[in-house]
Amino acid sequence: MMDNWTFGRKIAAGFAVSLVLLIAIGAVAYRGINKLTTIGQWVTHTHEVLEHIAGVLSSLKDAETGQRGYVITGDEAFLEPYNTGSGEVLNVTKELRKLTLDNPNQQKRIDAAEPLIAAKLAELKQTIDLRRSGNIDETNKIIRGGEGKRFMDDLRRILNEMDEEERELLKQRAQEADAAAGNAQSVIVFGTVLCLLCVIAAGFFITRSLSRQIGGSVGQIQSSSTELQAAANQQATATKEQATAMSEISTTISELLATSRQIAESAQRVAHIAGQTAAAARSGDATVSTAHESIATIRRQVDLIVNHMLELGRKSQQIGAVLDIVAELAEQTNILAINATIEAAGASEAGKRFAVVADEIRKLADRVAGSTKEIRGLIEDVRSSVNTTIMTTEGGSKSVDAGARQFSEVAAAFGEIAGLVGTTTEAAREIELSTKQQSTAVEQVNVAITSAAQATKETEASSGQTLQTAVELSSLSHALLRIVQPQTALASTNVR
Amino acid sequence: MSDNELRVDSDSAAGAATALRRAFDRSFAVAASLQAQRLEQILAIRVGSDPYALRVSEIAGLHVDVEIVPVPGPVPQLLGIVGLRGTLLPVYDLAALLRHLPASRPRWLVLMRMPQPVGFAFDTFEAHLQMPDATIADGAGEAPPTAFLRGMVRAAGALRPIIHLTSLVESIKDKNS
Repeated sequence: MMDNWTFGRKIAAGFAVSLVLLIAIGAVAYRGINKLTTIGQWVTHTHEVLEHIAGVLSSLKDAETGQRGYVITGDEAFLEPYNTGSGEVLNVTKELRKLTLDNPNQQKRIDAAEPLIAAKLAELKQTIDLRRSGNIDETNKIIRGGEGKRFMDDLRRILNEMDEEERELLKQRAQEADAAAGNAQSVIVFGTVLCLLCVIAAGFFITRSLSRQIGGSVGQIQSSSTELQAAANQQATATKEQATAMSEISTTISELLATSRQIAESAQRVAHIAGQTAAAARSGDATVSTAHESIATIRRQVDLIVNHMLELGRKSQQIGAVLDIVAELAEQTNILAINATIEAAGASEAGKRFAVVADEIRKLADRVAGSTKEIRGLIEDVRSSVNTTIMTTEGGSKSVDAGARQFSEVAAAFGEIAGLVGTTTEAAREIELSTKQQSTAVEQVNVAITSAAQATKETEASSGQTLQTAVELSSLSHALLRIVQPQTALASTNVR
Repeated sequence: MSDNELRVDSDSAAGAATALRRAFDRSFAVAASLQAQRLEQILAIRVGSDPYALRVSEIAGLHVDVEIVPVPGPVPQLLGIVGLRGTLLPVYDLAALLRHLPASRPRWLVLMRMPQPVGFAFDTFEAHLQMPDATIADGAGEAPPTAFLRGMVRAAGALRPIIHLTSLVESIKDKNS
């Protein structure tokens, strides 16, 4: 699971464990110190209480000392301790009561001590007042009576009890302080040891993990830097080749630019010639249209000739029919004349004369038949000529039709040529425009290629820098690997 | 045909008509004695493709395109019968009688001059001619091809045997009998 942790996380985890332990140790130490402080304060308090206890007794002793000196000497100067002690004992007692508010036993003892103190101070004041009044005997009587001593003895007993209790408390607090100090010491020692162990373990694991990961990564970096070095070498070589190719391309583009300009000029000339051709084609189209109209007129006239010829042929046929009738009439006349001759041959002399007439009629019929044959021949010639003329005219008509169709095709071809020439003109102009645009584009390409060549040179320089960087990166990774994993670095060096 | 040819032809036609008119008029103007010389009238015909001649003296009439009604008969050369001027008469195929190939439909018909007329059909009638007797050979020196031919005459550009119709009729009668 830890293998997936980042370096920061692992280090943070190690520090966190150590911090937790430190916090725990600090808390325990803080608690112990607090306790020790508290105990110290209470010890101080106890010492203060002891001092006040001793102060109470000391102040009473001072007051008794001043009383005794005054009583003995009658000198007022000896009353100074009395004055100081009597005033101080009340203050100390009051402070002692405050200091022991938390201790009911001591409050009870103070309650018991305060009347004794008051009684002692009264006895002292009484004796002083008696001495001042010169009543020495009374004074000695009171003193010898020992009441004052009893007061002091009781007070000493009470103060001794208080002192003993405070000292017992002091002893307990000293023991508590020792225990707290020992606990704190133990916690600090063991906690420190545990913290050290944790820090060592964390350091070990983090170091091992980081060494493994960083070593692996450094190995990869080394491998990658080696590959990068090889790639940089290849890139440098390729960039050199690219620079050479760019130079060649630039030269080629320059030649291409010159060619494009020549093409543009040629396209312009082609467009001009195409325009002239279009004008010529339109003129030819008009001429062809006129010729087509003339051919149509010829076609109509030929049709009229054919119709007339056909009419002539029909008239010839009618003449032939009439001639057939004439020929038949001639034949019948001939037959009648022959039969008349035959009849006359068997008749008398008058019949012979009739035979002469009949013979003449027969001759006339023969002549008519002969003329009819001639006319038939002439008519046949006419019909043949008419037929030939019709056939020739029809052939001419067909030729005219074919010519008209061919002229139509020629006209259509001229129209198509005109259209195509127009299209060619337009295309030539587009070619001219496109070629000019191409020239401009080629110029831009030339500029771009020049820039690309410059960029290639810069890339070549960058490739050198990249190669240098790759070499440095490889050395750096090797050095880093040597730092992280010396064995691996040594093995890698040996492999090298 | 050029205009000159047409003019020449029209001139020749007009001349022919004039010549014909003169000849016609002259024929009536000549003396009868000139007509008295002996002439033999013949008909120039063709049977099949061969030229023949008929003597008009043996003929009672010439007809053309007469409808022949076929009838059965003992003589195979009989084509049928025809009706002429209210008379029915038999018609024989002249080509078959003369040993020629029979015509499919002979157009011409001559009638034999006899009390009971008989018709002979043949293919083509060429001309009616009047020939002097001197131009007609009697056939004594030549052997006629058949018994129905008597004499020869040169007419209409061809030498024509003269068919003797009487012999034909007798032959037919013999066959019928």
